[in-house]
This record gives sequence, C-alpha cells and structure tokens, in this order.
Amino acid sequence: MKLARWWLPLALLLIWQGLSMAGVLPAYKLPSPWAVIQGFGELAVKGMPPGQLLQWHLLYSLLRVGIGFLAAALIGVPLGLALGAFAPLRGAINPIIEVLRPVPPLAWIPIAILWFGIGLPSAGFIIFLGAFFPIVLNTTAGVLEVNPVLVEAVRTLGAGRREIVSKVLLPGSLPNIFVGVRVGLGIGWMTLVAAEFTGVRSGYGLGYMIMTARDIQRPDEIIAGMAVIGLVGLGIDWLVRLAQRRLVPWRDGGGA
Amino acid sequence: MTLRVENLTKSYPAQGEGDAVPVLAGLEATVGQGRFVSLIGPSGCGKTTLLRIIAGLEPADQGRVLLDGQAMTKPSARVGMVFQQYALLPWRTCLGNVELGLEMAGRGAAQRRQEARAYLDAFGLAEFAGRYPHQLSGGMQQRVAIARTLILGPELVLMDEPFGSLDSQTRNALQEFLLKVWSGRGDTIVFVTHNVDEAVFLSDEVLVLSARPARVLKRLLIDEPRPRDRTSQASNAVRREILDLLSSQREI
Repeated sequence: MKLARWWLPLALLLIWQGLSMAGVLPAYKLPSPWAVIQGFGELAVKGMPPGQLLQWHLLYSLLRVGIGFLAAALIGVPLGLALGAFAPLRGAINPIIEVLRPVPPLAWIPIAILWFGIGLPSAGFIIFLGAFFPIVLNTTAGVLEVNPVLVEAVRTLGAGRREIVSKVLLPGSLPNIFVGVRVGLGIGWMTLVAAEFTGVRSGYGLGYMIMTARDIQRPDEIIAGMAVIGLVGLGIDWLVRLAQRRLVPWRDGGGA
Repeated sequence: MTLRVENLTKSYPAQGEGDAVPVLAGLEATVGQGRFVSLIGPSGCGKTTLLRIIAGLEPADQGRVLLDGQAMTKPSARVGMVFQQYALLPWRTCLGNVELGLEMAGRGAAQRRQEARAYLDAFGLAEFAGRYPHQLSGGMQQRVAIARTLILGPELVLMDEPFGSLDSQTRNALQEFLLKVWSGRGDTIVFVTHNVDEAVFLSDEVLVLSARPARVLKRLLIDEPRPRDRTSQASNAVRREILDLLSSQREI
C-alpha cells in the first residue's frame, strides 16, 4: 500500500483532531478521532451495553450477513443461469423481478417481522433480498454474454444440456457472477445494520450496538461502530476480489 | 464413411416485412470416404449454413444428411467441427481444451490427460499445454482447436473457414500443418473457404456453389499429387476455372 494514497485521509483526520482540540467541534456532537479510538477500545474491552463486547456484535452481524448472502447466492446463481439459458423462462419471470427489485430491502422489514418475528430469520431474509437481485441479474447477464460459438463448439464435442451449463455457461458467466456477489454483499452488509436498528432478539449486532450507544449518549462509540462497519465492509470486498483473482485467472491478460 | 446430402432446403425468416430468405434450395452433394472436399462460393451463399446443418447444429427445412445411409439430425461423435473463431474455452488451458471432448465421453482424468498430452506433443504444442488461449497467437489457437476435434477420432471433420482470420503467412503454414496431420488419418474433410488458392492447394475436389440459394455449380477434381506447388500450371488452370465460375455469380 502506498503512503501517497493515504495522505489526504490522514491530513483530514489531523485537521479534525485539531478542530476538536481547539473546541470548534463540540464533543457531544462530533468527538475527536482520538476519542473515537478510545471509544473503540472501550467497545472491545468493556462492551456496549456493558459486558457485550464489540467482537461478539461483529460476529453476530457477520453470521446474519453470511446466512442471508449464502441463501441469496445458492438460489440466485442457479436461477440466474436458468434465466440466461432459457428465453421463455426469462420472459415469464423478468416482470416479477422488475417489480420486486425496486422495493428497497428495508421496506420489507415490517412484513419480514410479521412473517418471521424479530430475530435471525427476519434479518437473514432482509439481507437475502438485498443480495439476491444483483446476483440474479448479473448471472443472467453473464450467461447472455457467453459467446454462442462456444456452446456450439462443445455441442459438436458431445456436450448435452447439463454439460453446456456446467462447462460453458457457468464458467463463462463467472466474471459477472462475481460482480453480482460483490454488489450483493455490499448491499447486504449495508442493509444488515439498518435491519439491526429495528431490533434483534439476541442482544448482539453492530446496528444494535450503535443504537444502544445512542440511547446513552456516547457519540464516540457510535462513530467507532460506524468505522468498524466501514472497515469490515472494505475487508469483505477485498476478500471477494481475492477469490475472484483466484477463480477467474483467464481474465488476467484481458481479452477472452 | 460416405456423406450424402439430399435435397437440403433452408430459409431464414425475414427481417421485418419482407419474404423469407431462401439459403439452400434442394442442394445435393456426395462426399466420398477419405476425401478432402472444399466448398467455395460467393460470400453469404449459405456455405456456413450447409456446414451447420451437416454438423447437426441447425435443422434443415427439408432434405436429409446421411452418413453411410444413416440420417443425422443432431451433433454426433462421428462428426467433428472446427470454427473460424477457434471457439476455445478461454477459462481452460490448452490441455484442458483438448481434454474437453474426452471428459464428456466419460474418460478418466489420468487417461484423458495422458491422451491430450500425447496429442499436443504430436501437434508441436507440448510447451503450450499450460497456457490459456488468450496467451497464444491465432495460429496456435487454431492448432489447439484442431487437436481438440481430432482427438475424438471423428470420421467426418467439418471446417468452417478455419484459417479465415489468419494472416497469409500463418495461413500457409497452417494449411501445410493440416495436410501433414490429415495424411496419417482416414478422415473425410469438408472445408469451407472463400479463398480460391487455399481450396486448390488443399483439396481432392472443390464444390463451387452458386449465389444464394446455394446449389452445386460444378464439382472440380484436383488430381495433382501432394505436396503441391502453389504456382504450378495445373493449379493455375483450376484456379482460373473456379474464378470464372465465381465471377459468373456476381450480382454487380
């Protein structure tokens, strides 16, 4: 990582710190970066509410995202492949997707609570919705982008329907599937925290932690929580890109 | 293996308002065992459509494709095809591409790897086994594609302008390569090209097709022994005849 890329954020942090110390920024509205770092330490050691440590909040949040995202991928990728491969199915299902897709995942929260109650299934469902549509749509687009000559070539080499899917359409749409996964995970992660604002039964979750910090007027811990969300989101995206480089090596030289 | 094409008729639906476009209208042809036959004709005359129907990639409206008297309607292990755009799977290495057909034939992993390596060796491609297609030149990619088709031992090999997107040096080299590979085998080859020199250099016979809808204008036999001299008088005479036939088909 080059230092040159980081000079601006670092400079802004320093200015922020300076303004806080000069008393320009009131600490009860925007605590200084240093106070946020201390708040972060407190979250990790003492917890918020006391005894419920940051690590556990993070773990629960990751678990919810993991479950929702996994369900979205397990249903979304095969559905996207099917939609890409069979035009009649695409024609039948696309209108449904087009109507459901613009409904923000958060707008599903009330009905999700009604169906699943407050708790993991509800949060998982919301994240599922956030991640599902980008995965389906990108997978379908990926299939449609596969050069039809490749399908014909493997047919002359003896491929049946199943092999056309497994040996051509799936690997051929993998680059687009990754785009869907990255977008889906990003939306899922954003959605999750908001979903946790509305309630969790376990008493754990980053969103829940932040709301608790707000209830007892701890802006330093609120911002520390937000920073954790941002950094973990960045980390997740980094992991997906790493997997992408591993699984899509033929894209390295460009052209395909 | 004898290929017989009977009364093949095919038209494509019109774009917009006009009538359907007839591409083949009662085309008849016979290709004998072990023959290298080129199809040549004005561009857009339906050569590729004919090849695709023989390959079973597309149905004919009427007529039949017979292999030793047996009607063919879908892709078969007896028929292989090589495409102009190589059609290698970009996510597989050369070795992986050559293994592809064996894989689908249910051959075990170790065995198909060994067979594919032997083929790449014989084709002078051993050092490229681990490369991806985009890392190779067009000529190399087409060699891999030919290996991928021939390893399955098809009795009939269809080639759709396989050297059409190569520069003329590479094209000549690949023509010689193809003849060398083919000389050791009994395959029948049907080779679509719009390059007269190529057809004359390679083929035992050349079927000159008419403008759309395609029919066989003339069947020319080329008896000259191989390797052929591209500039011999005999070759020139055949070339002239083909060029005359083709220009008679020109609309402008």
